[in-house]
Amino acid sequence: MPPDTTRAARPLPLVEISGADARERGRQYGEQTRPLIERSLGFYREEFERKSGLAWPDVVARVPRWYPLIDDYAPGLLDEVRGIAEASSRTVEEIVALNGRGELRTRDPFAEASDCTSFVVTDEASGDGHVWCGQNWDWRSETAGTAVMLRIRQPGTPTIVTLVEAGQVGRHGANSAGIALNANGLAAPFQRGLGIPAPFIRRRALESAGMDQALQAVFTARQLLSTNVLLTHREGFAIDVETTPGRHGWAYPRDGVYAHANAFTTFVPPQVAASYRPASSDSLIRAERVERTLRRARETSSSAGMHALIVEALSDHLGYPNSVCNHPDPRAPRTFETLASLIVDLTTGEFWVAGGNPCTTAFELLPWNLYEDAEAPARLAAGAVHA
Amino acid sequence: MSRTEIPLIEVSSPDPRERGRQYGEAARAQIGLSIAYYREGFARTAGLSWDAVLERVPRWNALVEEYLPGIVDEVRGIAEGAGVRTEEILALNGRGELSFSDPFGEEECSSYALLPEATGDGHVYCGQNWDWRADTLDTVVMLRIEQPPAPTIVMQTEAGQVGRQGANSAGIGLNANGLGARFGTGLGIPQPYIRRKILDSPGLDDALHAVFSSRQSLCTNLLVTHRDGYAVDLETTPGRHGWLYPEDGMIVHANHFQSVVPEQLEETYRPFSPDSLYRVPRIERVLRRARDAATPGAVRATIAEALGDHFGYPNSVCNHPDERAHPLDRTTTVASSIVDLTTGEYWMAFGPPCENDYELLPWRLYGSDGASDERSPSTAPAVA
Repeated sequence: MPPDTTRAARPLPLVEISGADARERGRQYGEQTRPLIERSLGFYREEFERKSGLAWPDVVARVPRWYPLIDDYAPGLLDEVRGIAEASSRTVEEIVALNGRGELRTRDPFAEASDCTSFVVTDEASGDGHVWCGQNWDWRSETAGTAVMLRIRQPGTPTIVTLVEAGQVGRHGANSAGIALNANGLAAPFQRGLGIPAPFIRRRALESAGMDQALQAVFTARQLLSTNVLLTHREGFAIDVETTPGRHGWAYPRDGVYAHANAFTTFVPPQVAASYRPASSDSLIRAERVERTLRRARETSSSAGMHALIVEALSDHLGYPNSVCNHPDPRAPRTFETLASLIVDLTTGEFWVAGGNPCTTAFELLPWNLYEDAEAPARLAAGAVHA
Repeated sequence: MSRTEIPLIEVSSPDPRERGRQYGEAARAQIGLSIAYYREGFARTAGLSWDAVLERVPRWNALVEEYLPGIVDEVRGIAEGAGVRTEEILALNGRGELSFSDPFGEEECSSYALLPEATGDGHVYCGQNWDWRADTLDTVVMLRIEQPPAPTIVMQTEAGQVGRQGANSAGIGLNANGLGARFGTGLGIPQPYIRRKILDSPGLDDALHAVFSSRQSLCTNLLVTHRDGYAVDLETTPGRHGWLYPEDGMIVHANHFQSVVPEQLEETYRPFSPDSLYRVPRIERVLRRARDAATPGAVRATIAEALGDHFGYPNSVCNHPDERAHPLDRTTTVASSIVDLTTGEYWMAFGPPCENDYELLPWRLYGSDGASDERSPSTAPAVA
């Protein structure tokens, strides 16, 4: 049965890093998250061995093959990783492995589905005229306690606020240019070989000053995994991109509302067209349920009302425990649950986080407003706007 | 605000060679600039010397002449008039097709058509932002071709080219956008000839036939609009073509496949210009308001607002040079058009529309006989 609805505080740790020097930023990150990184590595070390069939020393030995790809795609970011490793007393390979955890888990024929449900409500649909987005992040129960909210301030680059597993360079978040990224696994690996691990792709998208750069980050990446990426801009533009190692598909909000879970909905890649079935069948419930609730957005009359409606959507229990608000399934050998839930008001820059199931966990407003860095560049209209 | 002078060139003759000579003479300076730009461009990005380029171009002659009889004579006339070699004009017309991977990349353009149900004044409009290399800005001309008995054409083009984007006296508008993919084998008809054949068409049937009978090596989007309230968007490829009709009286198209992803690309297709993915909905969002605009002036202002949009700047609908790109690769909106197919008025802004006003060309698309009296100011739209 669904748990009761008393919401308790379960804040995630806040980590701030800043500076132009990537290595120095990494050191700040590693110092503040050392025990979490250790805990995370404890879990993944065993997980990778089980999933990939690779012994940990083999994983570590092969990880450097990613470096040239990462360096080429996101120059300088490996220096940040080196800094994280230094300050947390781990090897660079271990931190890169944490960033490649999705890619390193892909070979298991018994792989369980990983779930997430993302949403956007644009000014076209919201009762308060704001642009809202966010998601439930559903992941392995054992990783609870390794996630942090990371704020990255780099001169000349938009300031980023992102949820990450400690040691990762990017995951789900938003930036001071008014661009948000939410993501969902699509669990259809159909290509072998090297690809850029997802956290680097997401970080580059989150470093974008404009939607042009964010889309370039997504469309120029050579990747191994299929991932859904929902990009939202505070000017009321949103696009959902179903990314694969080959072709990408895309869709836009319908009447200002869009939700996406873990099934291909814009197209089915030809590589899997003959046999595609969503790895997580409850996806078909979750996206539909969230959209259905959010369609009531225009009936709200305040931002508090919008916020409450979104919490309602993210707390949905149809199909429990494999519901939008995801709970451990006692029948499964390894369990998943909603480890964090994010709500972003891109209009005001407010960012709320619940560090657990939204049905029982309070959403807390982060002390960081996305737009408080006045000098952070937002590459908006530089010329005159035509009358 | 910078204002670019619009170069107007008029040619008139039933004889293609004579038309070409008039064109070449009038556009001699711009043709010289264009040859200089592409000569350097081919050498820099494709490692092709200009001599090597000129050796390759005559192989198109038979194909082109069969597809569009008389056009090779017009090309010869252009060369004569401009005092350059025929092969050089052929090269300007085949600059996209000259090598398997286009050394100049693709044109990033945003096109639109509005039918009476989408406009408050009940007129039919079409047009586009034409985004191309900033360095070619001075090679763009407005060309009016009077070629009895074929329809009279008004179009914007790079000097020396025989067809690009425009409209004709039969009420047919043509707008075009690169799709950035090529998978054909063998020789294909270069785009300017296909577009010219569309603009030579007295009827829509001829225009569509021109599109569907061509053998081409590039993928290009062609938006064909007719003043009687019809528009169809054709995503053309060396193989199958896809097509789209207006929704609620409106079509907007940029640089990605919207109707069908060709089978040849279906496993790997990604838009060559991802900003195309927001340019379309950004324009649509503004143009939906055209139905509330009661007068042609108000509709044009709405279109101008859509075409001046800076979301995703500098890779926006109103395109500006991206400082992160190589200087020779920087693109900008070189021309922006608003064609009122109902009245025959043709409005152009040269350069980004945020900085340049739309000016009414002195040429009406429609006149009693297509003669020079079209240039006199006329208040009453002549609807045939």
